[in-house]
Amino acid sequence: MNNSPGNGSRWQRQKVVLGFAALYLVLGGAWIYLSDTVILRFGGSPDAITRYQSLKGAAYVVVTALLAYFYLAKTLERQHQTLTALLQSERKYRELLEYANSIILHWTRDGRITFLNEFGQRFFGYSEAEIVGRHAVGTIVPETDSTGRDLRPLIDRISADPAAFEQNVNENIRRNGERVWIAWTNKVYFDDQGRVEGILSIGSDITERKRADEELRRLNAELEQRVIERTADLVAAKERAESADRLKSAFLASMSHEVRTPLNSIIGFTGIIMQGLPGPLNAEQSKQLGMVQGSARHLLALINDILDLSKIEAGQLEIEARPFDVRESVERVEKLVAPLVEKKKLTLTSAVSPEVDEITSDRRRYEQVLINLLNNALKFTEKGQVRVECAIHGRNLVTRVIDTGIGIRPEDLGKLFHTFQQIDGGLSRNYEGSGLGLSISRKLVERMGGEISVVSEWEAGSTFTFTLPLGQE
Amino acid sequence: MRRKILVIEDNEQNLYLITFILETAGHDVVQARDGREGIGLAGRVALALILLDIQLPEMDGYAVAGELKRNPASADIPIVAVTSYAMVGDRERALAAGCVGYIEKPINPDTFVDQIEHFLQARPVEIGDKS
Repeated sequence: MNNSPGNGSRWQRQKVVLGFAALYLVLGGAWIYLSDTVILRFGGSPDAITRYQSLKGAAYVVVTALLAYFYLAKTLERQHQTLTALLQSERKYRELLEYANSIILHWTRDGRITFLNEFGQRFFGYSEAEIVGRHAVGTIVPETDSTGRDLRPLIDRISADPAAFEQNVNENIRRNGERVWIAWTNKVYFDDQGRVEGILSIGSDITERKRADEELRRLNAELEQRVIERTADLVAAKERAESADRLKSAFLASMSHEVRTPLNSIIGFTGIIMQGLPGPLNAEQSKQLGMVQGSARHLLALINDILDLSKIEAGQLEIEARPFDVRESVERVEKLVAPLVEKKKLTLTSAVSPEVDEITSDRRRYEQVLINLLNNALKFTEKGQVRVECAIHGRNLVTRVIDTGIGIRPEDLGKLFHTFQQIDGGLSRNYEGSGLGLSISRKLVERMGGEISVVSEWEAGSTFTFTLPLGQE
Repeated sequence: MRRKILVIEDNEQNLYLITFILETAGHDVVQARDGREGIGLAGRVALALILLDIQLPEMDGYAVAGELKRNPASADIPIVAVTSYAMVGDRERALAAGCVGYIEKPINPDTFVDQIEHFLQARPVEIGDKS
């Protein structure tokens, strides 16, 4: 479509007019000349010629009038159609602008508003008459934004560098003073000389979105702050727990020392009285003192267990790694528990495989675990036998303590190796113990790099197995 | 053979117990209830052995052992720590402080005399071994 007003189209229009005039001149001239020639040749008398001439003139006027009438009518009709189409098209685009759900703004490079669509007028609160021709700053652009930033140079900056402002978000203001956030898309028009002629800006209200974003940001920051506080709380709690733990270990160590001192004299004096050193005793006195001694020794064992456990938990337990003869250790432990075996009229057997020799580990701790397991086995076995087996499996020494005792119920197996767990409160009267032996044994075995486990059948017996690496690689 | 043994121990009952056992076994016992007293006695009396408690008022057993070893008059007397300290390194600390042995409390009345005899007999060897 190239019907815009210009020099070229004006010349075209003149060409049409000139063509029409020329055609009229030629046709009119030809008509006059030809008709005159015909009338002069065949007209006859001068009177007749004059009459014909008049008729011809009238006919000419009628024909040209008819031609002019049809031509003008057609031209006018065409012009009307064109105009109607133009108007329709213009209205269509105007409606697009007016009723679009976006702010459509046209303004000059010095910041004057030349157009604001109806949506924009309603949005900002101005009528067309009130806004068109006024400067953007002071109407829809506040002089300073909420942070105090001067917005007056903004218009100049957009004009100076339109490319940088193809998209921008800035604070605008409604007529009632309400601040709003608008996301603008700006399109710059240039004139023939390449200067900025005007700017078309399309804006959408993002105030709510921005508010939601800010709310989200605020909530995020709040959450982060709370996480930081909570972490600090946890760190403090952890430190408190750790210091409480250290305190507990120190307390246990000191308690165990304090309790040993009086135990020293109880066990010592009962011992020397029973030896008869201060004087002779009768049978009943010996028996009762034996009971005192038994209780005192039990108390001492308890204290030793608690001390061991506190050492393990405080990480103060040192594990040696020196070669020792397993067979000798087993024999030593057997001798130690021999009085109990004899007292309960049980049989204790051992089978150390021929390939078992020296291992590099902590002899005292190995024997301690073995004593614990054997004491347990003997304690919970009323008749039958207790057996110790030692063998090499792969790179481990495997030691088993097998008894024919009361066994352990399947539901109790899980808590067996935990601190202060003696199965069945009712049993503890019959089977004295700190409830720490297995827990200590497990921790000792683990510290030495091995594992401890149990297989048991209720009322048929138990087998405790622990492994120890043969040595450090 | 009757030997003179110094017992440094602040707990009255334990002091009595050890004294009773040693005297019953035929030894002479000199008692000290704190480190200072013990160091003073060790400088004056000819002793075969010193039994030293570690947890003592004011000056602890490690310090007492160090002092006894520094003093020429008592440097050659073997010291045996008798203590219920049983934390990691207690034994090592006692040996490092100059003790030749370590008996853990509570003492066993059945074996205590034998343990003491062992240290009394080992005395010349201990002196020769000192580094």
